[in-house]
Amino acid sequence: MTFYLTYVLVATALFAFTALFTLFALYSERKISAFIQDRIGPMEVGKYGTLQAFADIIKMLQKEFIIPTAADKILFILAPIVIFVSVYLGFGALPWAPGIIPSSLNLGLFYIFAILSIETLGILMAGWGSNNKYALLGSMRSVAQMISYEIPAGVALISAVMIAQSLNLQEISVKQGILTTEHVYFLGIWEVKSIGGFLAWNIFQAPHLILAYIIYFIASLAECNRAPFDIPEAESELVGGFHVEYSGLRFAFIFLAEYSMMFLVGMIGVVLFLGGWNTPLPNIGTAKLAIWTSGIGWGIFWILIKTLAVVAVQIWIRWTLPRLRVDQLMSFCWKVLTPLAFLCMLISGLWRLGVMQ
Amino acid sequence: MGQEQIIFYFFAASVLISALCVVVMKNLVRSIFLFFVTLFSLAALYLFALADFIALAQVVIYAGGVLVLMLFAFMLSNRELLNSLKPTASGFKINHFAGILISLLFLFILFTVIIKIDFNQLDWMQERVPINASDNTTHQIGIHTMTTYLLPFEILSVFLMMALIGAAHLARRGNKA
Amino acid sequence: MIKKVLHAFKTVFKGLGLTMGHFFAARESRKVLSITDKDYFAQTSGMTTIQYPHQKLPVPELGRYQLDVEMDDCIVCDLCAKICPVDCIEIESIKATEAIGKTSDGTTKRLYAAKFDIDMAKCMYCGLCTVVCPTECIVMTDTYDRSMPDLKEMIYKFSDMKPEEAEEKRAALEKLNAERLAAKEAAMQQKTQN
Repeated sequence: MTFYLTYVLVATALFAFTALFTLFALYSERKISAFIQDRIGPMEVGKYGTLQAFADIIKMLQKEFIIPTAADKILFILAPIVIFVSVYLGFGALPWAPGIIPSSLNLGLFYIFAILSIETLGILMAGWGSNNKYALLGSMRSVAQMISYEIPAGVALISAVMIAQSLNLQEISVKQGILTTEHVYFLGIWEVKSIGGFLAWNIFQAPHLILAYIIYFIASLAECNRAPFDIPEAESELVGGFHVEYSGLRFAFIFLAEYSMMFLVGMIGVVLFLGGWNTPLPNIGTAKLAIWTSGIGWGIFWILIKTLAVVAVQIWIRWTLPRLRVDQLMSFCWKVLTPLAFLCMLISGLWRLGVMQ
Repeated sequence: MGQEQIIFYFFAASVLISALCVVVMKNLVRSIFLFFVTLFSLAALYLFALADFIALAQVVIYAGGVLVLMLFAFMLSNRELLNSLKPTASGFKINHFAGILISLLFLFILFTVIIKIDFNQLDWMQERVPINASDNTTHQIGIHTMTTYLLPFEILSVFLMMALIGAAHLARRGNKA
Repeated sequence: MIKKVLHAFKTVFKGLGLTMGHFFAARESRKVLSITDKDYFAQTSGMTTIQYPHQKLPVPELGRYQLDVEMDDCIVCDLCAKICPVDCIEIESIKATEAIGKTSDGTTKRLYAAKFDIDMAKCMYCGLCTVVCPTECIVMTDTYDRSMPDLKEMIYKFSDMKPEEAEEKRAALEKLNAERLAAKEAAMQQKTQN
């Protein structure tokens, strides 16, 4: 029975993490946007407004569930659940530290990719179920964008997978640090197996993966529907996109899904390109920094730091760049990112055959 | 009845029931969304047969791709076209006959195959290659598609290429002609 | 195409640098200065937010905000009520039976103000009433931002006369009027008799 108990506990812990992360991200998003715009952001609730996110969530919990009369009730109610669950399930295969992974799947990356593609369905459900032209337009835009950007994102990830030779995210993580049993070469020439640190990360093992990571990062912004790719939500033209009609807890779930998605795509990028839970500090001579800063606690610390840094960059970009037009969005995806991603994949193959033999 | 059997029958039932609902339901959009339940339960059954790669491919391609395209096609087509698709009169008609005939014949074929086949005498059942849940099947799939099944794989890619060219041609029609 | 993409990336990084600069500049706030301060336009970086109830912009000496009436100086001439474009001043006057005193500038007061209400919710702060006032008893002060839970509380009552008192004065006035009328009638009668 303890077997099932652990399952339940892990699931609850992951849910609690997504909820806490969302609250934290909400606060930091407000503060960062405020600082960028020379404002100070929330200050009244708690010291420096730290309790603002809690106040928001309490407000949301108290609100009424409003279902529009003309809405398709079943789809309308199911949509936030589908959207959130698809993102939440993605957390199941992400490694947190050496040996700490909720479910060590052989097909981990493919699984996350598959489960995330269900989110599009939830968004369409929300858009159609609301029976509102803005919601429908928003969901159509969102789905068109997400499906298009899945291609460069997927191909960029494949080019990293070709270097790592595995779809298991835990294995990919192990191969980027001092815990590996295989040879690790910095830029394909310098054996850094015992040195570790950032030198063993995938983007430094094969430098073209830096380009692949940039492609993946841009595409992942589009998959989260975040600015500058936020045409599905486009407050100025579509009011709020697919979630205009939602209120209260249902809206909170959509919101939760959006922020968890930010963390999820950030973490996938970190695991595949930026060394996962491996320490960035290399062993230098007698100062065994990499050995000292590896372990379960350190692993969780490093992956959190790296992912939060990526999330911070996402927020920073959101408050800097204006929204792209639909045609710019599509031509950027198909004419720039996709060919570059294919190029990365090609180089990965050549790298694997030529350099890593 | 063991745990596995309960799970298997649960997913099998959900596949059958949702598939039936998809056919019967009047509301087209809801029936497409129900089709998602069918496809997802089918993926669960694949997983049950230890075919994890196929299960995930099922989710990516059918649930994430084909279904969304179906929804798009439905949402972008105009209402009159959809109205004309609706059955005007209920009851049996002579043009239903062909459909009934085909489905009955197909059922007959399925049944004869299932009855005639002796599962225990099949080659791959006789070999008894053990499959474990932790096996990395992706590796095997990759090797087999590039060696044993290279020709079907290449034919499929040519076929997909044809579909792509066709789609591009249809999309360009507005500009040229 | 390549040129365009490179240009896009270049501008994106420029923009990101700009916002990053502002992000780090936000470590300190700008000082809250009056517009008359000579350093007012010298502050170019830092947070601009003024946390209002805790921090306030200095009010200029001659601030023109809420109205105040010095009732001792008021001769109840009703000019302010007449000039008010939004009719926010309401005055009810009672004639006194004799001169009731002098204002600080020496004008004789002959009217009681039974009611002198200014509805600050209606006031548009044009200041016309302060211009027309012959005794300069109605002025604009530097107090602002009075919020009330009830709109009625925005009506400021300046008259210090109690209702009974007003009633008394009215009765006195009526009595005087009646006496005068009687005297007048008596005089008229005498005239006709002659």
